[in-house]
Amino acid sequence: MLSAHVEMKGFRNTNAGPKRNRREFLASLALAAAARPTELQALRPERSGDPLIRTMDFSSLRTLLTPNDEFFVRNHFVVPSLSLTGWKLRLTGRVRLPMELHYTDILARPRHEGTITIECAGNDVGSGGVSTATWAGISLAALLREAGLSSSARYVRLVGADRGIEGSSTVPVSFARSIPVEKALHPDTLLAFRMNGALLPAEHGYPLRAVIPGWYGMDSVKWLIGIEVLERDDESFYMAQRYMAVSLQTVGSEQYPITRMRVKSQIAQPGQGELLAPGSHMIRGAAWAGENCVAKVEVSTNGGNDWNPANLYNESRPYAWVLWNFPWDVQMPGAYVILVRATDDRGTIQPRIRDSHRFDSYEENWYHSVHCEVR
Amino acid sequence: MDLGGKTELRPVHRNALAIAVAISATIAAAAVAYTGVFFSLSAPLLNAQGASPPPLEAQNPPAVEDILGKAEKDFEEGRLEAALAKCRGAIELEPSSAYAYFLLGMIQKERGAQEEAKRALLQSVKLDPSRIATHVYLARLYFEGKKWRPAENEFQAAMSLGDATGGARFGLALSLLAEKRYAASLPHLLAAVGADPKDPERLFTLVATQIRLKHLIDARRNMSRLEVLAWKDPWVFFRLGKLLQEHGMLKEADSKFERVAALLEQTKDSPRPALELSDVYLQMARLRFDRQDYFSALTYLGKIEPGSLDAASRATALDIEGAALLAVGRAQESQKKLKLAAEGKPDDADIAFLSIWADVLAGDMKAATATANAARDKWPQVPSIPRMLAIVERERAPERIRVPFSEDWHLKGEGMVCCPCKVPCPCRSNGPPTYRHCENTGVFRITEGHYGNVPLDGFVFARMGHQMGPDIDPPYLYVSHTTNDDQLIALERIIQSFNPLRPLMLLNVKRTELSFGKLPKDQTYEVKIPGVLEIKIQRQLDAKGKPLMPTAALDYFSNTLEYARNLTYKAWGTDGRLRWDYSGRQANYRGIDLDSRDYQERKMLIQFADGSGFFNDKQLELIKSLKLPTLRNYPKTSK
Repeated sequence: MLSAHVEMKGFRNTNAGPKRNRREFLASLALAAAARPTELQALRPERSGDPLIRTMDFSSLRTLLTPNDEFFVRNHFVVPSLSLTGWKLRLTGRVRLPMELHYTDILARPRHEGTITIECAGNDVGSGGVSTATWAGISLAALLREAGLSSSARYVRLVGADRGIEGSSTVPVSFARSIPVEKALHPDTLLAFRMNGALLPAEHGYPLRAVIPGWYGMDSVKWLIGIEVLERDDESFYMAQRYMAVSLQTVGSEQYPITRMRVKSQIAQPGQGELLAPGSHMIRGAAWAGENCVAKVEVSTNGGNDWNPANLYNESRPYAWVLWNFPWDVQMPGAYVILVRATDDRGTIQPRIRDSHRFDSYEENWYHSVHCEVR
Repeated sequence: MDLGGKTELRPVHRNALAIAVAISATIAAAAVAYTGVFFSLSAPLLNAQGASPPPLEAQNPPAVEDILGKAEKDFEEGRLEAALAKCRGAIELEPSSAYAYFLLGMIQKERGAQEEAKRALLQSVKLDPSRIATHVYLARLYFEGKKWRPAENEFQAAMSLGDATGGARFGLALSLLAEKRYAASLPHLLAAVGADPKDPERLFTLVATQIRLKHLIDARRNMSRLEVLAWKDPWVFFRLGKLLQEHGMLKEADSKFERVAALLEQTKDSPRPALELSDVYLQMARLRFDRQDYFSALTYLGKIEPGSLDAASRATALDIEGAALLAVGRAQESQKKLKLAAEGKPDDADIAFLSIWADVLAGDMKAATATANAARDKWPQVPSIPRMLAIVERERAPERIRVPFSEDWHLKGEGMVCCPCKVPCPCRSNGPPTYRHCENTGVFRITEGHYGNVPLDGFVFARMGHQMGPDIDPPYLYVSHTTNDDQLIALERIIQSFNPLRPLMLLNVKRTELSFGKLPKDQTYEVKIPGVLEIKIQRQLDAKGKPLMPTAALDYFSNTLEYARNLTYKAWGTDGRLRWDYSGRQANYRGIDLDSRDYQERKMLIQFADGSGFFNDKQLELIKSLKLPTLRNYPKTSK
């Protein structure tokens, strides 16, 4: 039997031929079968369907708001089929007045709105696991106060209607995440039922979802059916076994939960490997800083030797990305490496490379680079 | 390597037979990347009787007939521009000639003018919708343009006009397959095969679809028919092997490749088919690799004549060889092969990745660092590279350099494992856990042991974790306060050597009070971690003090274990929700006497674990050769 460890799976294993491994290797800090020498996957019941995963085409970025049908989707399970007649939101746990709310009860409450960028915690550098929308809904804080939050409350658990089989599990698990009560009580934290002026689309959490501004996307639980106020740490699957930062130590590791979005910028144009004619070009993209504002965006067109400030299209505010551009006049044919980096209003700058101890695939925010050729 | 058939456009003639021949000329590049196996249609879509058009050309005026005849001749002889001019001239004289437009469509297609070809064929259909040939040819055009739905419509139109050969139906099935509508394609494939049971292409496509749909009994039956039909055709067997390999039916794939090799070896002195023996050996090596039979993979790789492979295949062979060498603990040899593979495929991040790992295992941190940094610069957006860099970075720490990877290790001692399963524990023979979840704990005491220069005498460690069910928390390793870092690194390196292909990290390590006690009088073992764990098991011995019914089992530390009485198995810790009480369930005990050769020589049953439900062939072979006891050897209790 193996000892306590995490095994990087899929390198060259039973199910992986030489060409099918790296993504598996990367995708999971897979837990070793330890005393279970069997390939656990073989024992899994059939999934009812694959979860919808769709990135936005970042190269098509033009506007502050991402159209609903282009907004990225990263679900864990198939989209649950919910009807308003059967749907209820239960608020339970450490509250004085547990509540059961119907959709009309939600609509009857004061409406709040915010333009908020959501990024998937596992969004690769340069990828489209990030989008922005204007969300409208009700204040989670107001609802919690209405229910009479206990003074012992520490976490607020958000439970989605989506459930299924995860990892090597053989038993279905519901998607749920917990946020500290302080974040839940923040006036900008929403339970949203509208997205960019329209009803929430099914794949984005209809009829109600959480929107936790400035935090990575997994906390913005979709298809919300339960809110549970806890007085202790949430040890459930998606809190204890996913979304953890892991830093390797000489022996063992240090770990902490993923929460706030990190400062990051990405290039939308030109595209990777693009061929450009000598002349004037506009380098464009977006930058975001979670709960903070983007203070500046800098662009390098020579692989990081020189940096120049980019123009910001819109005023930077917390939660939402800012679009930027940089006019580039290039006459000399050759290969170019364009880099971008952002700095937030607290002085935190995107790192050039990944923290060399980080072993997980979350919070990736090192410089985005685009290689292109002028000829 | 192109596995597809050759596309051939045959001459066109105006009479019924000629038209039929023309349209039967393979669906041209009607090749579908289906299940990763590239297959093409070399079989005619329609033959003469299926395509007999009505005799309508007689209505053309003689002058038009004459021009069309000349246009056909030009077309047949490859003078496409002349054929085009004549055909257009004929259309000017007789704009209602469906045949003239048909011929125009063929000429335009041959010129590469797909849109013009399509327009001409549509006009031909408009003028005379009753010609099967035009519908089929139009369908083929759509198919080649990956316009599946229009292709389906045209094939269906042809079918409605009569499809005695099943060619249009086969085309329809292929269009559906291209859309991944496997179930919808199946009835059409069955009908197409029924119409021409001797067409190997149709049969192959049917087999592939049935495998995809997991209709394995039918697939195997049809595969047998196909094998009889094409008993001497290495291509068919090669494609079957690839197909089966893609679907994880490795044992059957293996037998197909064996057949290919046998056929090719027989034809050594005769003109070879376009399939090299070395290609087959490469496939077989890959297959054996996938089955974790690394020594056999290396044997097949050794048979390859390097000059007979193209550059890409050579790099693939080196990649597999490097990985196989790594798997059997020959990291330094692996390094060299993988470096060469990376040179052959400089854009393959997977190979670079494995190459860095081989550097690490070979203890060549300079090379690992250089390769990893180069990889990060080359693939800045590939997230695997930073992860590998984290491993490299950690290995560069002086504490870890002090404990280099070593083949010189030995463990002697004993251990116990408890879990919630019934007895005997099913996973020990490739089975699923009894209750579909597994909260297991293993506690091991090394009485004598070392890893390189690190002494492991007296080392006790416990590993606890959920393995299945909703609670698959990361496992925890508990060791006593006296355990030093060197010993932990040594333990990690030993476990790593059980499967060198998978980088392994001990992420959750806790130093704690840990007691491991034994009461020799009643063979009771007791383990305690205050606030975390209590285990008490009792070994079952016979009157002579020998273990009752030791049995072959999949285990990382021993090939045999004894089932024991589980008196207490309780956990109530706060780490990783390790809380349960499975007292009275499964417990087992093993003596440990293990060194690096057991794994390098692939003598451990667990190295062939596959979750297949019971010991597989390779494991049964090992049980036999190592003379391991099994529960089946013991007489059943008499009443």
